[in-house]
Amino acid sequence: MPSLKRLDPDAALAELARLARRDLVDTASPSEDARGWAEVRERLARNQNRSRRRAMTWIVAAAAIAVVLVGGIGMLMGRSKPIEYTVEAGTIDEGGYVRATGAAGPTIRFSEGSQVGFLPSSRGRINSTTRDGAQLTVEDGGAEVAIVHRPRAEWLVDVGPFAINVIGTSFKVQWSSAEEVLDVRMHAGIVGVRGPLAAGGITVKAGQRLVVRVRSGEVRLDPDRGEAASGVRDDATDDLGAAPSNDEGIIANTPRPQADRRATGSRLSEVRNWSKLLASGEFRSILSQAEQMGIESALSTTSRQDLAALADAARYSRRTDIAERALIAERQRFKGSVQAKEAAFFLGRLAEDASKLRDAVSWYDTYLAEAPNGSYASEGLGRKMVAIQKMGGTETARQVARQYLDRFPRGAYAVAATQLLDSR
Amino acid sequence: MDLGAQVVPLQRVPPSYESDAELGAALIRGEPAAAHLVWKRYAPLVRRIVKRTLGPGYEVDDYAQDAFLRFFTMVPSLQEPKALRNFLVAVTTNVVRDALKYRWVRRIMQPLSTEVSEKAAPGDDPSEREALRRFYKILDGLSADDRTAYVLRFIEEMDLTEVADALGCSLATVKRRLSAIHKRIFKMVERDPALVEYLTTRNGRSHDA
Repeated sequence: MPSLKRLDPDAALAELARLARRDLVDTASPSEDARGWAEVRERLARNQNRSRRRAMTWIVAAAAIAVVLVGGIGMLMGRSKPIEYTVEAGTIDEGGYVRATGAAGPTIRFSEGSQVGFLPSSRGRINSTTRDGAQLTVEDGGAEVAIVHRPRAEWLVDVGPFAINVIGTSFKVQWSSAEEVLDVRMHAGIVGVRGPLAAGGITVKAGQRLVVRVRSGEVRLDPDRGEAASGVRDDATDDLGAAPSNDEGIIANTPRPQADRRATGSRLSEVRNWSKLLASGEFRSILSQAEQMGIESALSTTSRQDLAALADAARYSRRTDIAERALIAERQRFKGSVQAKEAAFFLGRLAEDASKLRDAVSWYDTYLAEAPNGSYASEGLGRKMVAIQKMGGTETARQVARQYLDRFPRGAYAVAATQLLDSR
Repeated sequence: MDLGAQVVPLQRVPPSYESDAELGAALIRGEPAAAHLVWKRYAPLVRRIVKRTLGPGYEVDDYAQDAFLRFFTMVPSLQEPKALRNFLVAVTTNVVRDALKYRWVRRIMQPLSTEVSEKAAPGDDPSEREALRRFYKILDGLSADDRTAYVLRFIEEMDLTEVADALGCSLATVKRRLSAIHKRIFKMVERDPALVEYLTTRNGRSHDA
């Protein structure tokens, strides 16, 4: 076999990059481009109308309050101002990115007394501030977070794919994107953590330490023995990659506290972006928002991406009833789109889980006919083969197995297909 | 009919705003034609970045539209009109990173899914198609941030400062990170016999005798 070690790495990767540059180009026709712009314009107009309606509602409400509480106007105006902040040992650019100006990590001091100190070499940003709190992101590295407890405080710290809801508390959080490990050490108060492997939300209290190792699927909630005792350093990668040192950790998957739910609900009502929530593992937030607006209304009015996110959130949370309706709605409302085609595959998965194998095969056939080269073509064909075999149609299953091996000789179901053909 | 007094109606010529500084300033002022001009000027770039980051076979239109929507709502924070392009690229990068994380959640929730590996790549030559598919399968092993950085630098061929701006990190961090990613990808390429064979046969720069 030829050896790549004799090739220049730069030349080898340059060749692959060249292929990508040559084949992955913008292929939109003028009419597709025009359609794209029309859709953007329409969505912008919808957003502006929503903002205007929201603004009008606020104006009416503010006027009513003004009539009743004339003397309180000044105070109310003052309260509606977002909290302010200053940065020490760093700067913030127009995108909200926090940059260190020296070796030490920058510290952000908020006007109501809270502060967030990024650890050295960490990356993060301030996404938004409101009168009640802020939304921050720690992209890599870590931060010491100290939030002053106030009524209605709403703080959200996004850490890698995780979201931490905070009311009033102090904790240290670290995320290693290289190792995909989250480490939360609670000094005081309580937080709710959501994300991969923590879809239902995990409550972490003062004196506890939560470590989530995404790759190995491990979630540990232990008493925090302190940095000296556990040998933790500020270097997130070194520390977080290490194996847990005791076996007393408990795997926790507790319901989200009421206060967290309130905080998230309020934040998300401002901007509905269910795809983003789904990426953060906030499946329950998506479902609860959909329930708040009415499932029927959610199915008939949400955007294509939000509807797909709702269907996924329902599937991951085992809410089969909502998942099925969302998938059907995707097919009806966005006929011909990638999401509509993929919905057929997922309807097959739901039918298969409910042991309705005939229905499952029918949905897989639909998907394979609509998207023969789609994302789930290999899996759809493989699952069809297995479902037919389970129904006792061994001969038909063998025909599907041949078809599978022709198309996907190295696919996930290749071994099963080969075994089926060899079992004559 | 008085042909001698023919009236030629004046047509409104839309402004062209040739430089980004002019276009950015017009956008900030809220001039009606500016948004469409931004789309016309940069939609191909945005679609290309999305396509090259997500890989072969993915629908790009929705993500490109999301990038523009997010960009237009963030225009008030565009302080330097001439930084219009960099700002849009940074917003697009964020949208694509969200999409990659979303895809990553799907993979976690459906470990058997072969979503990316079986995607069809464009191109006429089957060996090149297969090589490209395998290359993107390797990129699937990178984090969303690393993948975006790699694509912007080596496939989109942006310069290092543009990549740093798009990712919101320092030049030194980008250099260090890209060097590590480059080595990591090459190691993964080495472990793929089909790619090794393709590159050895195809690449005239081989040192093999």
